[in-house]
Amino acid sequence: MRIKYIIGGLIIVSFTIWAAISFKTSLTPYVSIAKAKTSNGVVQVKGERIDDGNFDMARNVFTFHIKDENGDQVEVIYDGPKPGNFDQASYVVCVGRYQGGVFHAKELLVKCPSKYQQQEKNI
Amino acid sequence: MIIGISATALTLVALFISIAAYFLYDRRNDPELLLLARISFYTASGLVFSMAVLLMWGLLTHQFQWAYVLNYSSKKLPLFYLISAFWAGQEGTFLLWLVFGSIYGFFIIRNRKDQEPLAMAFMGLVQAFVVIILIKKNPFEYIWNVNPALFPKGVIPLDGSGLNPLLQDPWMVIHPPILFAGYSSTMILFAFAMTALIKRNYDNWIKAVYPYALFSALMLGAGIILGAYWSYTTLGWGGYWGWDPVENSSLIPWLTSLALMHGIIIQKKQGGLKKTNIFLTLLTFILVLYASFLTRSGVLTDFSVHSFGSSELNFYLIGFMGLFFTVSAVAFLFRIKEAKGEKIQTALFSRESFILFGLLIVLALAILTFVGTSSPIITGIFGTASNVSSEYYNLLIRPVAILMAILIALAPVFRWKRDSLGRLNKLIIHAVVSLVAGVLFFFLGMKDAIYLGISILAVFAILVNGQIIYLMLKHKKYNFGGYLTHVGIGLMMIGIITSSVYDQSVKAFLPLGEQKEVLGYQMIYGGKFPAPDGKDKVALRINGKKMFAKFFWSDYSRAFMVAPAVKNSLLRDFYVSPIQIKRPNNNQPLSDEIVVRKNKKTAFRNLVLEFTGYEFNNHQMEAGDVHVAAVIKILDQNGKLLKTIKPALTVKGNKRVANPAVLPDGQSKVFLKMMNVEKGSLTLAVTKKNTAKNSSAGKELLIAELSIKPLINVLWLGTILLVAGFLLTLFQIRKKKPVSAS
Repeated sequence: MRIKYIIGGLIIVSFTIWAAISFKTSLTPYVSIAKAKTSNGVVQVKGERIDDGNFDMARNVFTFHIKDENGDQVEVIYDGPKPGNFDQASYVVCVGRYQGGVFHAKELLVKCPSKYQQQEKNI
Repeated sequence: MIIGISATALTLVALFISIAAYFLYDRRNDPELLLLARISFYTASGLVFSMAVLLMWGLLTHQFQWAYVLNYSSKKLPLFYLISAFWAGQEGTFLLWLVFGSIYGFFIIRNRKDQEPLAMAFMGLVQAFVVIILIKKNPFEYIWNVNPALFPKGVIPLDGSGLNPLLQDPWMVIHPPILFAGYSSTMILFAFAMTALIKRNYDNWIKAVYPYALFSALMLGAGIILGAYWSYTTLGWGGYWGWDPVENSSLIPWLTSLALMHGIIIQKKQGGLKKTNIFLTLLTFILVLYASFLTRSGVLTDFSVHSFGSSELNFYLIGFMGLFFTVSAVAFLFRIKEAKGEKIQTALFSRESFILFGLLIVLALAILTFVGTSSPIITGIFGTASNVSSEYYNLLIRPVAILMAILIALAPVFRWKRDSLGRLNKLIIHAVVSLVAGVLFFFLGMKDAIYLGISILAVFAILVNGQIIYLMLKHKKYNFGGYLTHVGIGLMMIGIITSSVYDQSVKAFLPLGEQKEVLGYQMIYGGKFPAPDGKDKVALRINGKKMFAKFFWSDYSRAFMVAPAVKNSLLRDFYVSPIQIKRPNNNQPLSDEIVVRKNKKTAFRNLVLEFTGYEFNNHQMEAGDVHVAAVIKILDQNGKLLKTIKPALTVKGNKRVANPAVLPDGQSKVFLKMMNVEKGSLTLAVTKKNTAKNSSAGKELLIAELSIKPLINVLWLGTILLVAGFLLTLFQIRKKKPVSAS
């Protein structure tokens, strides 16, 4: 039955195209702060936390600053509360976009120094 | 610990003897070799069980000189969580893998005489590699060998670091062993596929492997589902599935095992898909290895909220994966041409065509999830590593769900090997009822065309498969496991859409003691109370019913931990997740200063404080940093012990961070201000109890995320039916087999 292969082929092709589109639209590249400031789309930046941040109850946003490896700094506004382990974080990964002088983060990944890494260092 | 470490080494020796003897027996058929092979496998298994018992004993009796026990348990852990500390770390999970591997070995030796030699040789090979990793990372290693700088040789630390509070959850006691039983069971599939390739037996092996494939699919599925329950009830982010790399890496091999199930069914029924089945079997195992590589190496550290272990095992894990990938690929490429199956040449509208389409859809989902999860690695090859957001998966899952629901609904009406398009008219009533359900969904608020479409098709699939189950039950036939699983999937689709697309969520500010209406629920925040296990409770009154969420500081994670309060009802859950507790802002928290001497009792307010010693917790710190806690017993005036507090001070470089403790009144914080080691005295600063509760400074405020999850019980019911379907099928196969009962 040739029709079966045609249907199967069509499904596979359309899936591949759909997957490629989805992949491209949702890909968030890891960039430096300098690059994030010039890019229009959603990106990820990783930076050292340089202050304790401030939660604005009225607006329900959490604001803090990060500094990346190149020494660039940026103010980050996160639409939500301060993450529970923020004070312990050594660096923060922010997913979002740069707009109007600040980085609007949709998502924060707070990275704490892992117990393990330090132990291994000591060997 | 020399006994434990040598047991690990001996296991490796015994496994190598077993592998060699099994291979030789396969060539020479010398019964003595078979005996030797079996005895050495039993010996290795015996050693594995002894190691597991030893580790469990070490955890239960607090052998803190072992790095593993020190890192993952503590004296105050209840028995339940001491047991689950067994699989809190990598070493424990590898040991768990070996335990399951040994059990599976017994089953293979007992059940399948003809495939035993080669299959067991490959089982032994996989086990041996896990043992090698376990030698490198041994749970019985003394802490002073792991970290000689901070732990003097021979000195047993007083207490361990404790267990990650996220893992202190009933679901977490069973989720990891079940998932690992699933992971490790895929090596049986690998062993049988390799045996089939070497023996050029592309037909019979499928019967032997079928129950094991079912078992793998069952355990992986159950493990993933338990993980979702845990995520929902414990983590407090309001969801059950986040397309996180750790979740995905267990989903991918489950999907390929499901594809394999469909392939086996086709091959058993009409002899097709021989190559595909061998491929899927090997693929499932390789993907399990890939999963353990992704989650145990450091490659995804910057892309996931999960924290990962060290990367020192990378070399071994890559080697492990590379070796088995190469072995599988070579055997597959050399032999696969010989496996000539019957063509599935029959008509488009036949049962096998639709099962095959189902297989392809599940496989496509597996591949797409694989691509998304590996995106940091894939993009890393071409440039900076980037990740896809969860939007990628949400975009993809919609067409997958539509096709899946159509196939699940239509496949059962078609006949094997025959075009039976005409039988579709049996489904007219079902279709009409589904459309009516769709109208109902629409007026209940489901306005999105795609989600509405999926829901209608899901109802359709449930009706068709449910009716078959009903008819089979009427005729006292019970082999409807597959249909039951498919009903479960239909229910899950509806439950996922209603609970995660049509959920309502708001952030609310709840002042202490005041009633507020949120999303139609009457809420009162009743304050935060310390609990005996250190997990402070947040008292809530929801529609008059008292409930507790949790909000507490964890020394282990060095973070605030949250657990939600969930008010279940038949049609919806009301989910309350604390975000923050704002105490009224007094500009200057007044405090008393008090000096206590070691082992002397000091009266303070209406309490008596007794400073008994220091606790150092250096192994979590970098060299040069200091973390000191003072152990202070708090007695009442009659000398009754109320609480032991441990205010702590961490000195990191030139930064001092205080970790205060709380007095039994639940409010006064005790800060460690100064220590004088020579005099054996401490200076404590104790904040004053807040007397001005209704002062102008305002009330204590709970900020929480409140959400309504409609019909989430439909999702949970679906997961139960899905698992029940697998169990039923497995039970039916075992009943059919004349040999090997209990």
